[in-house]
Amino acid sequence: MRELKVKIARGNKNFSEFSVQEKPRMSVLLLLDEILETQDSSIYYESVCRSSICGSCAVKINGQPKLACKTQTSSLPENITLEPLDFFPLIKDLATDKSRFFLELNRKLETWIHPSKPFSGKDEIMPEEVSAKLYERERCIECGICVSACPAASFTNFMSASGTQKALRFLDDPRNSKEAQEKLIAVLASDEGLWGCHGVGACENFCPKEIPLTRQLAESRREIIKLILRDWFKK
Amino acid sequence: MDAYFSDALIIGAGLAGERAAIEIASEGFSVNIISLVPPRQSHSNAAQGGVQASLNNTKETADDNWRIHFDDTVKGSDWGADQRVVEKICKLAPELVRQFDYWGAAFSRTKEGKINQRAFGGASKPRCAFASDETGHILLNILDSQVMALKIPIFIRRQLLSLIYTNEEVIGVTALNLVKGTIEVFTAKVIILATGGAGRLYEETTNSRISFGDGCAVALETGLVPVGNPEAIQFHPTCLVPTSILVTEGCRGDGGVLLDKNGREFMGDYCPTMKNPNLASRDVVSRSMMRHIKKNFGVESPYGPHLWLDIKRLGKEHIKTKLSGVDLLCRDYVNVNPIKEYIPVRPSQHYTMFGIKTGESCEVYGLARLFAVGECACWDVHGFNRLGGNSLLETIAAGYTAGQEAGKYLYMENTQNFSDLKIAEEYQKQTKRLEELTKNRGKENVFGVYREIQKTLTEKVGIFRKENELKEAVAKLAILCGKTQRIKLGYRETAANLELQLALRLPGMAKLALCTAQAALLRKESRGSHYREDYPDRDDKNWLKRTLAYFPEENDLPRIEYEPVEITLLPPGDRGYGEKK
Repeated sequence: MRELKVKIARGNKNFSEFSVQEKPRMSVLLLLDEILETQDSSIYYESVCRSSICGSCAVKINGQPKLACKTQTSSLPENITLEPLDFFPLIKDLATDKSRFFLELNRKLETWIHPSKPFSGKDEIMPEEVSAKLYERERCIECGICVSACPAASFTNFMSASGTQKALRFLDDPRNSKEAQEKLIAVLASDEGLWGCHGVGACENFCPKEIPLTRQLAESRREIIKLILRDWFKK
Repeated sequence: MDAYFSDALIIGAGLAGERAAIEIASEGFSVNIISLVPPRQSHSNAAQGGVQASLNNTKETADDNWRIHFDDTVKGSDWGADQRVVEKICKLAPELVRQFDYWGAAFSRTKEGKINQRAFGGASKPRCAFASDETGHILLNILDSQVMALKIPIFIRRQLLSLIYTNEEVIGVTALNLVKGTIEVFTAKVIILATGGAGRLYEETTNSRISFGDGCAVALETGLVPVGNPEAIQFHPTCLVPTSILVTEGCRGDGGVLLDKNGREFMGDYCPTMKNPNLASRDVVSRSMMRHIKKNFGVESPYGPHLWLDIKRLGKEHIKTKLSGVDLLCRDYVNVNPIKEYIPVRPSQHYTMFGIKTGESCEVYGLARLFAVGECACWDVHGFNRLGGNSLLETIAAGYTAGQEAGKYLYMENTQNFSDLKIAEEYQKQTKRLEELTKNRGKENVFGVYREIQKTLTEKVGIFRKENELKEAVAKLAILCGKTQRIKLGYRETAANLELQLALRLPGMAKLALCTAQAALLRKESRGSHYREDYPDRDDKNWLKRTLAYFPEENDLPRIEYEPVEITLLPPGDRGYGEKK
């Protein structure tokens, strides 16, 4: 096993350096635990599920945004540099506050069902493929990687791949009201929405849930154009 | 001092807490939620397989009903459950699950477009509504979307420190703001604890790194509130080796099987009378797996012996649609492609059936205006062994029930013994505690003491238990309890300090661990997940009762009492798994 040289960002462009004995099946998260518990308890990072389902431990590992829990040290060179995600406000060291961004995004898009009828207490029929599509759209864990990796989301008003996923999820849901769906079409068909994507593809490259975001963004653009054209013809 | 007031205060933003918040806010009352992490990161998110409800909506589930669900649950609990509460939740289940569908949950559907259900351990019908194998994630997202729609404020990155109460009536809590490092006070007319389980008491656990049992420990530390059945701890049969990441029971529900080192199905050796012995209850499957490993049928690995879970027989299409999360976890964490290879698994700690003892309406024993819901509570739906799919059901049923009950309290407007003096005192007490810790008078390393607690429970209060080991555990944990009071910090800031956060919760965790060991030592029978090698049989004559563990401040050991278990519909009998011991 190797002797890893680890540099951890400590804010204001400062770094602390550590030397750690690599262990079998060591993730970057376990590497951080090792440093915290045996070398320097002042380092700060966040982690919850340690199984890539919560997104809390997203950091930059040798410049690339990744989940610390999922990234094995064996996939990295012996020099490892850890920094906080770009774009989000820093809490301390490797911890950033992504929750405000996602809360504001969800509130702006109103990512909840606006029901068009009261709860009946009975089974409602929904085609299998519709629910499967909603499920696929809802696998996002709000880790923030696709936001921080995307130049359009970082420097323009593009709502990010995660944002478009959310909007599309509630657009595709037949339980959502017509009015709410029309609002979502309007925002998706703008520079904030699908038209704001520059096609860089970093979102899909780095998505820890392997959601095929580039393909979905392209397909969604076609679907939205169809929806807009359909409405024009109706008028 | 930062102080916040609301009609209702909820600690924890997982499924149980948010479900309660919605119930109360919908009545027009003000609600504050405080949470250790952003709501969608709560451990409810990690639930995979599904939620049990007798929907009775398809051909396969046509003769299912609440009573069959009830019988399954009581047998699963080994008659430890409160039958009044089990009846209540089994009756509530179908409507509560359909309400999630109304709110927008992306449940997997049948060809006819009905909510689909899968088989689960100990369930005599396919009764688990699911969303692939990320059911918790989907339910939590949808519930949180309702919380957002209702504009309920959530104060995140807050660690619960203590309850404030006067004349046995709760009036508020103190919490540490993890980012600022300051102590804050939240007061309310009713308070609901929804802080989750305490899986992190064990070394090998499926639980998130936030499942410290904070709410349970804080309630125990009042000395007034008992923890129900602290010896009742679930070990899940199929957890990845290494990492202990959960692999859903849905794998076996859908037709997967356990295999030994020779590639042989072995569960039939241990439950010969069951039609599908792979779907016995979790306690039985975990014990059988460990027995098989002890007989040298385990697969050797650098991480200890394990067995195999075979889901490749289900085929690529099934895995990619109904077990997609498992597929990703196996590839990412153990480098196994489950479409082509077996998955290495071994039992790990998974769930704490124990918790803050509550009555039928989720009201906490010993303190008024206080409720507890979800895994942090012992409402006692699960007794000594929980069935898969019943934890998600409990979160929403308890959240709903406690929310309703809290609403009634708020409508009544009866006078609360509100005391500014008491609040100031508690704030001072916690401030002093923080100061003392950062003054570094002790000499114990916080991580060292924590690992010792975990190691003691893992080695001596695990799947198989016996008197001498339990005695050793009690002695060891009593010493560790003392050590948690003499911590020396390496880093002394109060803001953004992981070491301090652990040091603050460690005394409570040690006390909880001691309750577990002590109650396990005293219970001289085997029931559900509590298995005593020296008392291998259930003993209804002497032990058909529930443990209540109190921990008054002046005590070195918990005070253990018992209360009767409510039997209303199903008298004690055979569980029906035919377990060979």
